[in-house]
Amino acid sequence: MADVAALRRTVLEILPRVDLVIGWQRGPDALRAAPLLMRNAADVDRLIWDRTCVHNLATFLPREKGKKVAIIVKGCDSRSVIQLVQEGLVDREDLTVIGLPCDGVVSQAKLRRAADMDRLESAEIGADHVEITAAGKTLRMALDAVMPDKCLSCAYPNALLFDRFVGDPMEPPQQRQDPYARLDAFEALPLEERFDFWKREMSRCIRCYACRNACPLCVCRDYCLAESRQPHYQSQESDVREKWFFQLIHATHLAGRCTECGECERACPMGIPVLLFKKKLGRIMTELFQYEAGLDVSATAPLLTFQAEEENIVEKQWL
Amino acid sequence: MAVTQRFFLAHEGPGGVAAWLSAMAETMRVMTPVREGISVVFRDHSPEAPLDFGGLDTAGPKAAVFPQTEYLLRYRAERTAPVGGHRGVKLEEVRPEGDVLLFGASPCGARGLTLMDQVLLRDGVEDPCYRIWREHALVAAIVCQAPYSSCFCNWVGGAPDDARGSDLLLAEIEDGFVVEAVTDKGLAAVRERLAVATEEQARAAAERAEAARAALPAPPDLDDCPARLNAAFDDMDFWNEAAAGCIHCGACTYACPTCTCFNITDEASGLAGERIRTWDSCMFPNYTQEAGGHNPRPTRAHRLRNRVLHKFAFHPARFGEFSCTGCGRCIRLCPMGLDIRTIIRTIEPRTATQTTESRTGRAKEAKHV
Amino acid sequence: MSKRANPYLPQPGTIIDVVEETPAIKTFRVVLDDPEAMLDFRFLPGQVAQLSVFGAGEATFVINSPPTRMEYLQFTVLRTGEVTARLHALGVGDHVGVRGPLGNHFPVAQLRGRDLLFVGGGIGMAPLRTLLLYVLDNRADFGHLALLYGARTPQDFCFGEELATWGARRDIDVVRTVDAPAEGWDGRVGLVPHVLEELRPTAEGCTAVTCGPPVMIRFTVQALEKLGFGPERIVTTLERRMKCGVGLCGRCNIGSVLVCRDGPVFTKAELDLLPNDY
Ligand SMILES: Cc1cc2nc3c(=O)[nH]c(=O)nc-3n(C[C@H](O)[C@H](O)[C@H](O)COP(=O)(O)OP(=O)(O)OC[C@H]3O[C@@H](n4cnc5c(N)ncnc54)[C@H](O)[C@@H]3O)c2cc1C
Ligand code: SF4
Ligand code: SF4
Ligand code: SF4
Ligand code: SF4
Ligand code: SF4
Ligand code: FES
Repeated sequence: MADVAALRRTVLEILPRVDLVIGWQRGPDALRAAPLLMRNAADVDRLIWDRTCVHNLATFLPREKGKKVAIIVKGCDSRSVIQLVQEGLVDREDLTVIGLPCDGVVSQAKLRRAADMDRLESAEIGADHVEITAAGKTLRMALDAVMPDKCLSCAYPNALLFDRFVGDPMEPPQQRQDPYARLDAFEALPLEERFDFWKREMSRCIRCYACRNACPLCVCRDYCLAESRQPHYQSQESDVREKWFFQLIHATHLAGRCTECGECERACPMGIPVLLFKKKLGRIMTELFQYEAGLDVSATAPLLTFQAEEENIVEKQWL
Repeated sequence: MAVTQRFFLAHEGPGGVAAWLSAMAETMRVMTPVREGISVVFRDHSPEAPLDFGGLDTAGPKAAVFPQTEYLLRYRAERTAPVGGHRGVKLEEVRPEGDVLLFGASPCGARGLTLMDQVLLRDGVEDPCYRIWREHALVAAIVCQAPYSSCFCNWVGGAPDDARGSDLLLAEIEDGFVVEAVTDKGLAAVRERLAVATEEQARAAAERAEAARAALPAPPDLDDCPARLNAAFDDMDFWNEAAAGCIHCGACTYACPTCTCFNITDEASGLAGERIRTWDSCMFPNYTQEAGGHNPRPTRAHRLRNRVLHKFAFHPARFGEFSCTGCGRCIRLCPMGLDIRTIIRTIEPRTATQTTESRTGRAKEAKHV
Repeated sequence: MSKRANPYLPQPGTIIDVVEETPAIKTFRVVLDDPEAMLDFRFLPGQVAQLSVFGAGEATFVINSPPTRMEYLQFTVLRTGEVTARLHALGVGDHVGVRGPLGNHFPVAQLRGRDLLFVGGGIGMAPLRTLLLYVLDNRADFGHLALLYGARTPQDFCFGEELATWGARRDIDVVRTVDAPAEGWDGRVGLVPHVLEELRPTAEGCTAVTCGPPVMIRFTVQALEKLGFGPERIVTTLERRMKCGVGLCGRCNIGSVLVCRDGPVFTKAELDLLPNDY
């Protein structure tokens, strides 16, 4: 990973020319970070760059629209920026992208399953392991065991779009997991089990919409049909049907735009695996259109184009 | 209600947890904490499912007495008028029904109920649904054994063995729980069913509670916190900085055991429908969006300010108590790593009101950032 | 409302008359279906009610008929969203729900014996209408009366007929103004606060009551202060997005004050004590 001193120097250089620089700072504990909006040199002292920098900061770009913003991105985050630029949702001119090479972050969800993270006392992240002391117990885990799935199948470790690149670009690491492994495993289950699974998972949903608000490409937000009353799409009732319905809409609206960065699932306070929906649609999009979102600022997402005769969609010829 | 009799609920066997819960289940709904993935949620008790008391209930016991959706009334129109109006509307009040035992709540979650009571029952008009739920709910909380790193109940007058809001307070010892009957309702639920705890058992429980108290770091002095927060009201630099990472998702308020804000909407199907109330959050931009396009809290900084001040300045001004139990749920669940402790601790005393952006902030009306 | 009554339950009512005020504003006259409830409906000028259109929801409106005229309850409604759009589609004979009266009221007792200056903008004329009619119905109790009413265009004035009647009366001065010159308009032109400064009303012995959009209120209050109106002598109403209207849902807070219960009527002196959050 690039060293934080070099990153801070780059930020300090850029800072005078922009309104703010978006990066990460230490969060509530040693393994949690929080976004940091740097406006002056003193703020830069708090900038961190390590494996706890999980947040995809691109989600703040549409929120800070109209300002001159610099943003620090990992490989996966840069794809969201590309997608935002491609769709005209942020102005490239207003944007300075500081790219990083990245060989993986740690997943709170996986850490929580492995250790008593609520009683974390100290943590040390090594090159290939994480050592955690929590509730009086020390646990050493392979880094791979606590990385999010996306890092285990990362194909773009270097920022794809940048104005400044800090550190040396790295070779894509060996894929340790198929990007659709979890989806395959899930789809192998009988229909009834899958249905029960979602009923149970969605019943935990509190309709907070952290999944939506964390998503860098879900830009309607406050005009979202989840809450819109005119038209009145969704009931405000908290039953599984409404919650599930929203997830399906979210996934559909993101089809061909979603870069599978996983922010939605990471943000969910109730630990609901909502990325699975997007993975499903993502795979369909790749199969149908051979298109991967967030790689090319000049491309157009497939569902934003229209061809009378889609090449890979067979018309049923019903008359 | 100063009842301080202690009983014993064994882990196993007759007079044990399972037996007591099934006895209770004969007359009421029993809900117990279940671990699902990284969350601990209350589910209808099933004797087969393993109970999990190791973690704090993720979203607190609030939903049992203040469901995310409450049906307030049903309406049915006899026919529609030519222009789309209703003729002959029949209204029917809907009232919650049934007793519920909430077993294994956290003390900070249970204490939250007393703060919700202040808003919903003791401040003029009383909320009829909440009143019924409260009367019908029996809350059995369990004393924390080892606090989380995000816990700060002792900052706000709470403790790992705080009995406020609970009907029964359980403290786990070697082979079971010492049960303190905090209210008459709690006493009635255990008196005939459980053995009285021995002195030794009671002592062991007290020692555990004492150890949990001691495990919490010393609290900062928050006496002048409301004054400091009020003085910083117009310092938008401070709030912008504090709210920088917020994505206004409202998870912090939904999980908060003291937040009571709600929305009211009608959900229609054909000529009939329901008026419901659902949880709402001051972290949402729409919460204060006015008809004329004006939004008094246009940015996440304005909204976070309201959340923090409501808990640590506005509520205390009305009720003399912080509306925060220091449970740390907002810290644990915030996807962006915001920490309310940092704000209330770092807010500095100010001599005069420092105004920066707050007036000009209004120019950005209806732009939700 | 008794403490134990269901504060969410509206009283059934029927629309007996609809007046089209402007393209976007309609006035509805509503009678409660239960005649006794109508007799029991006691309120003071400035209080509001929640009107229900079942299936669309509830919205807050000033009861703009005065308590001195109880043949019906009048609401004047600007079409802005879900409930108001559905209300605008209703006609005579349609059923609605009424929940109220809610909130506080204009300080009528303190206003007695004083001169009154009414300053209204747009739909903000609704609460002023109630007070004005109440004052006219008790004319002897009050001093000199003046009304300054501004709208964007000549078509945007509400209560057109009444304005004409008031204009013809000798015991009240009525000035109307529009934001920009318009064809066929021979009244004043200019924003309310500017016109107010031109009119230079005397502050002595007078209380100003002002209602309108937030920006108008802000500048009008400034103008009034310049004219020498003390903070106790400026009365206004605040708008807030409300839901329950009875102090439970929490939505309408400004600091520790709940606008639905502690407002919507505030004096400038009271506003000065509130945090800058409205
Ligand atoms: C004390 C008070 C008195 C009022 N008196 C009148 C009156 O006499 N005549 C009149 O036409 N209007 C009045 N209003 C405003 C009126 O309540 C809103 O226009 C109405 O609630 C909008 O409802 P809706 O369902 O049509 O809008 P929605 O579809 O809910 O929303 C449309 C827009 O209005 C905003 N809004 C929704 N509810 C409210 C609300 N309660 N207050 C403010 N904005 C809201 C929404 O955020 C959105 O921007 C008053 C408001 C208050 C608080
Ligand atoms: S997906 Fe790749 S770029 Fe993104 S965090 Fe993981 S390793 Fe880094
Ligand atoms: S973040 Fe999770 S709990 Fe919140 S709305 Fe999305 S799925 Fe539901
Ligand atoms: S949970 Fe965090 S991100 Fe979400 S609204 Fe609360 S403070 Fe903001
Ligand atoms: S504000 Fe946070 S710590 Fe306080 S009671 Fe609410 S969720 Fe718990
Ligand atoms: S105003 Fe905000 S902090 Fe206060 S109870 Fe409502 S949602 Fe919670
Ligand atoms: S509108 Fe519900 S508290 Fe004021």
